[in-house]
Amino acid sequence: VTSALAALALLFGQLSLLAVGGVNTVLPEMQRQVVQVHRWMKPGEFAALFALAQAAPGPNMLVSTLIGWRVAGLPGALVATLSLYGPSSLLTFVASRACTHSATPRGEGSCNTGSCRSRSDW
Amino acid sequence: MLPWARRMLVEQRRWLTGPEFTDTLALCQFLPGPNVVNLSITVGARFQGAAGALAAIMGLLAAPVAIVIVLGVIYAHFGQLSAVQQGFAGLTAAASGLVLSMALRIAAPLWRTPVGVAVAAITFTSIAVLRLPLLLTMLVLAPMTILLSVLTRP
Repeated sequence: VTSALAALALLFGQLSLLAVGGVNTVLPEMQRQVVQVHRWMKPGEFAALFALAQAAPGPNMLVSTLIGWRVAGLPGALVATLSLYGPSSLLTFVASRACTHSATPRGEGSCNTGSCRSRSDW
Repeated sequence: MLPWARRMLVEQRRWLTGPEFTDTLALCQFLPGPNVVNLSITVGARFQGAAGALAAIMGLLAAPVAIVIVLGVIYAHFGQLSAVQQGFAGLTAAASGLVLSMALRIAAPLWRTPVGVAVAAITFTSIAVLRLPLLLTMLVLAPMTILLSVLTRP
């Protein structure tokens, strides 16, 4: 079970940082890894879980929660969700802090002009 | 979800001005991860630091994650019934149609530039036909397309 959780964390953590421009970018890679590389489920089941996640409210890519749950139960669901949202969220938090610190003390218009975007380039 | 977030943040709560929202969203789209999640983290961090960011992401995700897990449990219990399976066939078709329509909408402006069409075709072949890893595809294509866009800049 631990190895399954580690595999989930590694897979979704990697997808998190690859999801530039939104999470739909990594959907084909997710399908390839889950169905073809790890053989956790058949293509039909992946499609069904994706449809289920789309039908539910909330940000898309909750399919990661369902895949985690299918592979390793509730711990799997939590690990997959945290791994998909964690790394990119941490990066965003750090970038937004850098952006706010570079702004005026009042914080007024802190994110305007190019200062913010250039600070987040690193 | 983003238009709704804009209405709430800019018009109803007045936490951000219109231009602030646009700039914040630009940063969020540049960074990896779901845009609306990144947006909530940025706004949360701005007003209450780490605690605010954590509260924002928990507020955004907790209920949907709980709902989707409940749906998954229901699916596992009743997924074998033929009526449920037929329903799912329809749901899957609808979800595929949604993804396809989004892909076409994104691809639409490309048709005017031959380079754009070529890059889209290479990416599609690599990912959908050859089923190569995304990381490899991105490492090869990203520098190539940046170079191409610099060279073909009018």
